[in-house]
Amino acid sequence: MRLERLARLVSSRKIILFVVEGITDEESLGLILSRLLNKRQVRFRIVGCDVTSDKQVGPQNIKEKIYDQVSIFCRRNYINPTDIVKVIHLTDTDGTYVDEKYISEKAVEKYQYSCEGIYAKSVEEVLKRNQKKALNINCLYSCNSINKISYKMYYMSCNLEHVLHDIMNVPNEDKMDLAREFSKKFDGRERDFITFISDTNIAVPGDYRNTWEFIKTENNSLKRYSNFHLFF
Amino acid sequence: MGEIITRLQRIKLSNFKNVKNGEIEFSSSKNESYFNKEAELMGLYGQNGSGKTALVDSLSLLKKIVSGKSIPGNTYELIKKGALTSALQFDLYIKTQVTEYLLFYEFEIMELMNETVIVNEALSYKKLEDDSWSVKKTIIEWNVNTSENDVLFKPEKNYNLLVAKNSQARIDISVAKTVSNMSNSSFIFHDLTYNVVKENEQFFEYANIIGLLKQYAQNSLVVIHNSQSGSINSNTDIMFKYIFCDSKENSTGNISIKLSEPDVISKGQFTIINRLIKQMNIVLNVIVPGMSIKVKDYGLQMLEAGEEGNRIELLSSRNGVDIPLRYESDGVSKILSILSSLIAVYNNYGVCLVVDELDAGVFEFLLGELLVIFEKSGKGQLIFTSHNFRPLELLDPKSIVFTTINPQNRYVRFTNIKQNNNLRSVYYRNISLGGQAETLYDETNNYEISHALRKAGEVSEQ
Repeated sequence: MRLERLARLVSSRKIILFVVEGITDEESLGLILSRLLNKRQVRFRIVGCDVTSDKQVGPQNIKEKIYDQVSIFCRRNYINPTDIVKVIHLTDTDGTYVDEKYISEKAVEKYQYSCEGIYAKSVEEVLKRNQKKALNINCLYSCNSINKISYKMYYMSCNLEHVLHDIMNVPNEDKMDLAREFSKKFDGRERDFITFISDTNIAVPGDYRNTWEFIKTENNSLKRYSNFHLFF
Repeated sequence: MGEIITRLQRIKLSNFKNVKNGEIEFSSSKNESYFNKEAELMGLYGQNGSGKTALVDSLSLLKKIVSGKSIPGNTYELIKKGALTSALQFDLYIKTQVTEYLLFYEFEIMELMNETVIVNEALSYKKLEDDSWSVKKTIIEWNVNTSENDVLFKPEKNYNLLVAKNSQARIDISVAKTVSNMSNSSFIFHDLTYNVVKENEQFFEYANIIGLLKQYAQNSLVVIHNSQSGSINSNTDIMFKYIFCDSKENSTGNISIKLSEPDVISKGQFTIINRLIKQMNIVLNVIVPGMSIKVKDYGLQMLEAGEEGNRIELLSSRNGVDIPLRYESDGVSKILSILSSLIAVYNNYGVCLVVDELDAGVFEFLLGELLVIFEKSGKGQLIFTSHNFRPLELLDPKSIVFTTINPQNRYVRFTNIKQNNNLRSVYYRNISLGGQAETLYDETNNYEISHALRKAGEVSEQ
């Protein structure tokens, strides 16, 4: 019996699950991460929306919502939550931590971002979102596990395209092309991605906690930063 | 009392296609009950190119050889690349009115000047005597070296039994040996050999065994390759595998009917096709509600050979509307071409039906239901390969065999499956994460697949 269990342990592969907002996160990073981390162990769960700014979600149930996503992934792929060794959550910061003085009113369809501020039809709406998103993110980055699965959240500031391409307001229809381009750029030289994400222009110095304290300061959550290098 | 029943028990393949070593047995063989008056299913599942069809091919070869027919010249293509010979072993169980046998037949094939030759063969048996199995005894065994001696086969005792007091038998058996060798067919099961052994009273029991096996191979073992069923289009024919099996007769065969235009068939075939369609319609009507097949008879016409035949066209009829059968889907065609065999295997303990890609073109739900019906109330043995996972949810786990990525051990069953565990989800989990002693799936990586698709697209753009 013991032997059997041992054999199973040896032959079992474990999964690192990346929880991300959209398909472009997976398209940009899937191939790179899967090659860096030994193929199939890398899987993505695309939430399809920003769970941290969801109106129905607050600190009281945010962990539950993340676990729901893990559960859906498990169910669809016929695996058990215990097959997942790590959940890695990637989030855009979207200027979450800036105060009122960085938010201005402007007749725009969607929120517009720049390193100096957020522009929206309603300042109040942005403030509300920021408050909610900040509470949720604070709760998640300081948590080490969700339902006993090891959990870590890393940020892309102010969003994925900003970090990967240095472009802030990419129209939705162009996002996939950029993602493909990025994936292709590192094809065959995946290790260079670690160099890229660890570049001092992007990588925030310090330990995990320091990087989060840093991004919460002033308008840093609008600038081009990431702490994803700490994952490697 | 009762009918004579032959059941396949175990198959062992060495260096056959991509199988270096592979062994499959029915669970009744494993627990040594051999025959429990119930249907046995064996569904083969696995990745493309992992040895599912190899098993089907091996049974097709068994059927040819034991029927006493010549094996096709290109059969050597089935020998594993890099190996000199392929060795195949089959265990069978036979219940007659008076006793029970376990039979062990093995043979080896190799390529010789673009032909496939049998280089050795052995048939041995155990017999049930006073409720216990006798020791295994060889009936006939020979290899390429034996034929150089005076004694044409071993054990010498049996050879002498056959020829000692009979100089005609000595000549006849030697002719059988030469003819079977030259025609690339089995010596043991060649009609000439059978004619000699059945005339010898001393050999009566052995002759009986050989005769029963020949009958089984000819009439009760039915193998359907995917190329023989499925795809109807205006240029092809539809091949019906038929098997009529009842107290009065046991006959099998193929009938191929042209679909593109009315076809002319012999009177014998006309009788069979009418009978076949009458039989099939009983079932077809309930599995594809409202559908039946009709033979439209355009009357007598001379065949090329000068014999009188019938000019016919096959029509499918749904709710009173008749259309030529060629307009029906591939799925309907698949069902039609195997239906007669399905009926036979459902109703007879002694029929073994082997179907490659049983699921091809068949609606998932219907496939599942048919298999459950078969498992519950069928009688014969059904071996199938499939890529549809529905049967995994429905069938007893012991009916499912998985192919592995290990050529040294191609076929496995899952261990530790609880009754309430869904085999489909267990299989899925194992594909992505492993966990069984053998790896069942060569990893694929979705990111690599999409990357490769994109790269290939760039090549064609250039």
